[in-house]
Amino acid sequence: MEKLLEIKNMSVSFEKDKKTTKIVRNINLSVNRGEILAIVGESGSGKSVTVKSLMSLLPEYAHVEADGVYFDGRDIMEMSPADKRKIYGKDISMIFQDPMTALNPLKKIGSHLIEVIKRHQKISTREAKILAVKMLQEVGIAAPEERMKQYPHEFSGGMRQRVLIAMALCSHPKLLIADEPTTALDVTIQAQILKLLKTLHKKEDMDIILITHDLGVVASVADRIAVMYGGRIMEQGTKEEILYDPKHPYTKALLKAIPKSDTARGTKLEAIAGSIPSFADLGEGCPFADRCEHASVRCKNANIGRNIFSETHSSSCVLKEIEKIEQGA
Amino acid sequence: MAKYIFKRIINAIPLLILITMLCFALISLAPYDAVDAMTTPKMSPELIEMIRQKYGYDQPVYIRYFKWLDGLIGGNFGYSIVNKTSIYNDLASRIPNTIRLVLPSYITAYILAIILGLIAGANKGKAVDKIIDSFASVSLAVPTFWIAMILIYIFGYKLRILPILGMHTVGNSSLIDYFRHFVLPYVVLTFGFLPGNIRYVRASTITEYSEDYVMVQKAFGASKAEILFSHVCKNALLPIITKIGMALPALVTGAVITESVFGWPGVGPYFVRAVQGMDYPVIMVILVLSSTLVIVGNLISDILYCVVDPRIRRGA
Repeated sequence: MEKLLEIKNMSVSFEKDKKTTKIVRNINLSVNRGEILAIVGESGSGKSVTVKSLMSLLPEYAHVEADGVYFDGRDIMEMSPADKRKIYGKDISMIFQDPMTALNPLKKIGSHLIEVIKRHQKISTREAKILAVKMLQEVGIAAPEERMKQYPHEFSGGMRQRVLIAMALCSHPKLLIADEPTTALDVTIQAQILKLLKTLHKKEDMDIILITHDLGVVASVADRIAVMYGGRIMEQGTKEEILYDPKHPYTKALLKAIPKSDTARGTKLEAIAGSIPSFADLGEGCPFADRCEHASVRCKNANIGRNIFSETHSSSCVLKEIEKIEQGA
Repeated sequence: MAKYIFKRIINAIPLLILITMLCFALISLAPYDAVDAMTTPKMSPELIEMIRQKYGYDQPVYIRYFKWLDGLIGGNFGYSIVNKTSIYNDLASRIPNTIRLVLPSYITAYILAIILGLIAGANKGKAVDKIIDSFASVSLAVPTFWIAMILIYIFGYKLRILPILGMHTVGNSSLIDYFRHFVLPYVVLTFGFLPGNIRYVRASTITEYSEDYVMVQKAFGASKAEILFSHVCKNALLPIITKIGMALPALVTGAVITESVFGWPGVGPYFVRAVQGMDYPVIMVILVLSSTLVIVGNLISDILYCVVDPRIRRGA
């Protein structure tokens, strides 16, 4: 399968007050053409940091190391900042968690769109305007002509997210990174936005990385899932493999924690014991070891192998070590 | 928007009345009044009583207040006890001098502060920022009269290239002569207005850079220059409108110390002399005038905000 994005052995660390904290550890991840990849994890699992490092959005104290981050055949890590700016907003676009603060409050919606269009396409302001109206229409904003003249505060949260999606789509990106795009929205709007993303994914032939902590969202849109915890990818596979045949104890615990519609009233909800560890406390071993019911001494080992279950399905756990084919990858 | 402006103006009126009351009450409460200023202990009690009646000081406070207010509204500010001159005429000749000095200084300080503040804020934590910020912090702590003295010492005494007093050399009303007098107090005042404004712009710029939309713009491939000029700049400068409003009272009483040091014939020395001579009518008028300008200045800021910021425009 052809890969649009391939992250090879990427690590991110934050250096503050002369102390280095590893946030993302040796991640290998790829996005195939024509798919929606969901990165799932709790808050603080490093999923946002992973994608922000692709977009050069991390603060200055962050250090990114990788054997290569190939987007469309080119290594992003090797690009100059100016070259990167040429692809950001054009070939790779990103939408964010909180649409309420993502737009400049003093700029009209129209100028937001026109600015992005003109940045990446050599067209006149008039043409850009026509395109902007078309994009707003495409993301389902009624009366786009009038809406262009309005300010962000005149839009609801869901509408602002649509505007951001329109901004992201202006130059027909190959990849859209959606960082918890529906977390700040209420449930009905959430469903609309997800549906829109799915439609656009097909219509625009655009691959999507969807970051979320909502497994319901994942189940409805993703093709493939990567489960992150403590800055590592614990398990990845197709949606069916992860949701119906989870191998990693963490994934299993996560799925168990979803309340079911037939759960009797008064039943205690399942929860994973303990809380997510701070990055500063994490050693080289499995980050989930302290909360895992199958944990053993081996989990503290520096090298947790990768278990391969199928061409698409793999997990990082000492369990089933026999099936390990690649070591330390 | 018109409704909002109208509402703000209506709101300002009771505040103005309150201010005149406060000024009048404060002066009335002072242990020494205008009659004391006009009489000497050697005068007979009958004579003092006569003077008291002549100036209406035998009447109750509220009647005196209304008479005074009536005069203020009609442009009759009363007379200076010390000089016996009309306060209105005094101020009419002095305020333009003050404005001539304060306005250019304020504008210069403003422009410099915007440039330096934006540079510092956009490069937070880097060397440029540290230099600008420490300059602002240090000069904020330096009193203007000290700078004035140093400049007078260097340019007026050591080098002897600039005059140190007044606005004109007697008998010489050329523009060059005026500028020679103007330059020192202008520099001192600019220096006085500068640091506070720099810190204000810097803080505002830093806040703006931490907003989400800046990150979003980065994600959409905006360069540093695009982010600064097309986004952050306007938003960061918005709060500075407050400072425009604050500049209004400064046009009258913003340079009291500097004017006094340089003997600039503005409101400053007039006010200082009035305080020294316990010239109550003058003090009251200047108090009312400057506090009125504070309110009017605020009103202007609010209206400007309303014009510039779409969120307020609509919220109104």
